[in-house]
Amino acid sequence: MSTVLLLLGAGLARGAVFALFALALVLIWRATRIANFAQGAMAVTAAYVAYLVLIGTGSFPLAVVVVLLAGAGIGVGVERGLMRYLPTASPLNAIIVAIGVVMVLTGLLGILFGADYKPISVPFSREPITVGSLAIVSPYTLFVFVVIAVVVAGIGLLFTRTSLGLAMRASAFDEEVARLNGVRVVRMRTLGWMLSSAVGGLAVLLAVPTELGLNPHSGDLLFVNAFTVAIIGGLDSPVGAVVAGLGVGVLLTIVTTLWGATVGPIAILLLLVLVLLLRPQGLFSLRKARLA
Amino acid sequence: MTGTRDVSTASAAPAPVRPRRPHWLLTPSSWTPLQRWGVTALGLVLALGATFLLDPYRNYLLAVGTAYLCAIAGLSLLVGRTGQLSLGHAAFMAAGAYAFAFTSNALADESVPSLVHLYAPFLVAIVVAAALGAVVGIAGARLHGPYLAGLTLALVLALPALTSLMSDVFGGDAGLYVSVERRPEWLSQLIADEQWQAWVGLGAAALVLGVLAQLVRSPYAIRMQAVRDDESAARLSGIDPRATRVTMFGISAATAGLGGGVLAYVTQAASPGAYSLSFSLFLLVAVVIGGVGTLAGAVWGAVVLVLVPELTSSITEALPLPAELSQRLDGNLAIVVFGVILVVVMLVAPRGINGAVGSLVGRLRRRRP
Amino acid sequence: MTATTTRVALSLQGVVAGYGQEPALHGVDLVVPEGSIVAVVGANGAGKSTLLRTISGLLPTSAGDIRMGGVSLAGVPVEERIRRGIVHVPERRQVIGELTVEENLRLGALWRGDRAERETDIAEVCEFFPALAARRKALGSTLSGGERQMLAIGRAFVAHPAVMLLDEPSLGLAPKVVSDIMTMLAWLRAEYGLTILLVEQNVRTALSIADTGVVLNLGRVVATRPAAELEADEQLRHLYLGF
Repeated sequence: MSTVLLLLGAGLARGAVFALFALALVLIWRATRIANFAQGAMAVTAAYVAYLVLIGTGSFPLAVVVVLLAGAGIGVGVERGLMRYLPTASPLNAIIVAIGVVMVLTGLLGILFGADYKPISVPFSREPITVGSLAIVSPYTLFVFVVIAVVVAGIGLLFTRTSLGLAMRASAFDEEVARLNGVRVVRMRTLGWMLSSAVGGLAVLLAVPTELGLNPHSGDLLFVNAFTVAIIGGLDSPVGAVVAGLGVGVLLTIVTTLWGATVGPIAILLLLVLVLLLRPQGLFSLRKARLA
Repeated sequence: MTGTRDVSTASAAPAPVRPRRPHWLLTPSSWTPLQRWGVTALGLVLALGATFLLDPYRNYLLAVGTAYLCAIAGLSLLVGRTGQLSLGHAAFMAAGAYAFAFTSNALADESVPSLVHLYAPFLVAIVVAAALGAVVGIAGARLHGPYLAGLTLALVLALPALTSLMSDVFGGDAGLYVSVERRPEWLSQLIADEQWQAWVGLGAAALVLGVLAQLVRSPYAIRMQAVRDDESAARLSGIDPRATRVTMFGISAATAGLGGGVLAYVTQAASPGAYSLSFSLFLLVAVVIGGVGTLAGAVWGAVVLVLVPELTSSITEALPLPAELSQRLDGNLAIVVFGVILVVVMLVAPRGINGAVGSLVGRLRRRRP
Repeated sequence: MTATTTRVALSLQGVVAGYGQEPALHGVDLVVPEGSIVAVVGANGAGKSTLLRTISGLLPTSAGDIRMGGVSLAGVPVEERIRRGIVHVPERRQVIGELTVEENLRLGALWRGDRAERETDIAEVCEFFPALAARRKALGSTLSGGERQMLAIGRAFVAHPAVMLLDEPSLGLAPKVVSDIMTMLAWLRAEYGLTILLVEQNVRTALSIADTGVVLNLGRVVATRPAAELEADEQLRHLYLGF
C-alpha cells in the first residue's frame, strides 16, 4: 500500500511537470500555430541561469523568480530576433529554425557549463512523510504539486477570465478579426512566447532536483515527453495537456520502477506510435487532426 | 529576305543574335539516362583516382563523407520533395550499422566467399533500415508537420536506451566491434587500407546518387510533386498520398541504412554514440545548407558536414586554452556553428549552396553575348 | 442633396489601392455623411470588398486620402483604426467560432478600457438581439448564419463605431433573415444615429434602407445618387448591376 502511494505520488509529481511543459507547448501552438521544438533548450537555458543564481545566493525562491524572468526574456529574444522574420508559408521552416536554436543553445551551454550533471538542491525534504506506518509523499513532491497547480490555475484564469487572455485567444483563432477589433496581435504573440518560455523554465527547474542534475541535453528528453503528452491530450487543448501529463507521468513512473530508467524513452516512443496510429488528434481536441 | 525593306531600315535593324546553347554538361536536367549514368561513372572513376592523391587520414574522411552523403541524399529528397521532416534520421543509419555489424560478424566465422562477406552485410543493412523506415513512415504519414518530426525525435532518443537495455545483444554504450572483409589480396600491393575503404564508400555513394537521380526523373517524382502541391487533386487523380510518402520515407531510410553500413565498415564499429540526436540534426543542417531537395545539394552538404567539425577541432587545438575549456569546446563548438549556419541559411538563403551556385551560374550565363 | 449642415464622418479622395501589380481601386471618391447609410453596389469584382479593406487598413493605399472626421488615416495601423471609430465587419461575418457569444461581444469592446461601460453596452446589445441573449454562453460555431450576422453587428456596435463598415451582410442568408437584419440596421441608425457604409451584392436590399447609393465598376465610382433615384434608374441598373 505504501509503495503504491509513493509510486502514485512520484508519478503524479512527474506528471505535473510534464503537464506544465506540455501546457507551455500548447500555449505557443494556440497562440502562433508553431510547434516550438526549441522549447526544451530554451527552458534548460533559463534553468541554468537560475542555477547560477542558486549557487550564488543559495536562495531557491529567488531561483524560481529568476527562472521565470529568464524564461520570459529568452522567449522574447527568440520571437523578436528570429521567429518574426520567418515566412509563414511553410510550417516546416519554423521547425527547422527552432532546431537551429536548439543547437546553438545546447552547444553554448555545453561550452559554458560542460557536460557534467549539475545537481540542484532544494529547501524541501525529499524523504516521504509517514502517517502511521504509511509513507505517503515527500514534502518536495507536495511543493511541486502545489506550485504547478497554482501556475496551471493561474494560466487557466488568465485565458478565460481576463481581457488579456481573450485578446490572446482571439489573436490565435482569427488574426484578422482580432486586428479589426483593436487587438495588437504581434504583441499577443510575443506575450505567448514569453509565457510559454517562462513556464517551460519553471518546469525544468522543478524537475531537475529529482534527477541526476542539470545538463545541456536535459531539454531533449523533456521535450519529447512533453510533446508526446501534448499530442495525447491534443495540441489544442490545455485541459488535455494537464490530464494527459498526469496520466503519462504515472505510467512512466510505473514502467521505470518495474524495468529501470533506461526503458523510459522506449516506452514514450511506443506510446507515441500507438497514439499516432490510433487517435492522432488526441483525446481532448476539439478539432480533427490534419490528416494526410 | 530583306527585299521589301529599304536600305535605311535594313541598316538600322541589327541582325538577330542567336543565343549560344550552353554545353550539355551545364544543364543536368536535360540529360538522358545514358548521359546520367555516364557522368556518374566518370565521376566515380575520377574520385577513385583522386584517392591516390590523398593521405590515409584524408581518405578516411572521404570514406566517412560518402557514408554521410548516402544519408543526406535520401533525407534531402524526403524533406524537399515530400515535405516530411525527419529529425531522427541517424536512427536509420544506426539500424543499418547494427544490421551490418551482426551480418558481417556472423559471416566472418563461416567460410563464405569474400565477395559475399563484403556485399551481403550492406544488403542486409539496406533492407533492415528500409523496414524500420516503412514502419515509422506509416505511423507518421497520416499527419503533417510537427507530428512526424516529433515521432522521429522520439525514435532517435529511444535508440541509446534500447542498446543500453539489451546491452548483451547490442554491446551497450561501447557498441559492437565489426569484423569486415578487407581489401582483396591482389590489390594490397597497389592501395592502402584507407583507400580501399574510400573506394567502398564511393561505390555506395555512386549507387545512391545514381538511383536517386533516376528516381527524380521518373514518374514517381511527378507523383511526389502532385502530392506535395495539392493533395486532394492528387487523390482525385488516383495517387495515394500516404503510399507515396511512406515509399519515399522507406527509400530515404534505406539510403541512410547503407550509409550506416559504410560507417560500420570504415570504422569497424557500431555504437549508439555515433548516431545521437546531435548527429541527426547535423544531417538536417547538411541537407539545408547544401540545398534541400537536390542531389547536388546533398554533395555540398556532405562536404560541409565533414569539413566543419575538422575545422572547429583545429581551431580548438590551435587556441591556447586550459584543458577543461578545450574539452568543452570540442564537439560543442561544431554544434554551435552548425546551429548558426542553419538559422542564417534558413532566413537568408533558403535554397542553400546549390541555390546560390545556380543563381551565380544563371547570372554569368545571362552576361555572355 | 444632403443638407450642407450635415457633418462628414468618412471621406475618400482619389484612393488607389490593390493587390499585386494591378490596382483594384482607381481613384475612388466617396463621402459618408454622419448619421446616414451609404450603400456601395456593383458587380462581382467591382472592388467593393477591396474598398472596405482599404478603409479599415487591411490593405494599404498607394495613392489618395482617407479621412475620418476630417483627420487623415494615413499611417494609422489596422489595430488603431477602431480607436478612430472605424469598425469593419468583414465578409462572411467572421464570428470567432471558438469563442462564446459573450466573448465575441466582449472582443468588440476590448479596446475600450472601462469594464463597467463595456458590460452595459453588451447588455444593451443583448436586449435588441434577444436570440443572442438566450445563447450568451454558446460557442460561436453553433450559431446559424443569421445569428452570426447579428452577433457580428452586435460586436461592431459594442465598439462604439463612428462608422460601421458592413461587407455583404446578406450573403448566404434567407430573405426573411436579411429583411430582419436590414430593419435592425435602419433602426440602429434612427435610434443611435449610427453611420453605416454598406457593401452589398443584393442591390434592392441595400437600396431599401440606404440614403445614398454608390455604384462601383472595375474599381471606379460611376455613379453617386440618392438611393431612390438609383433604384428607379433602369439604364444604370442594366449597365452596371446586371438587372
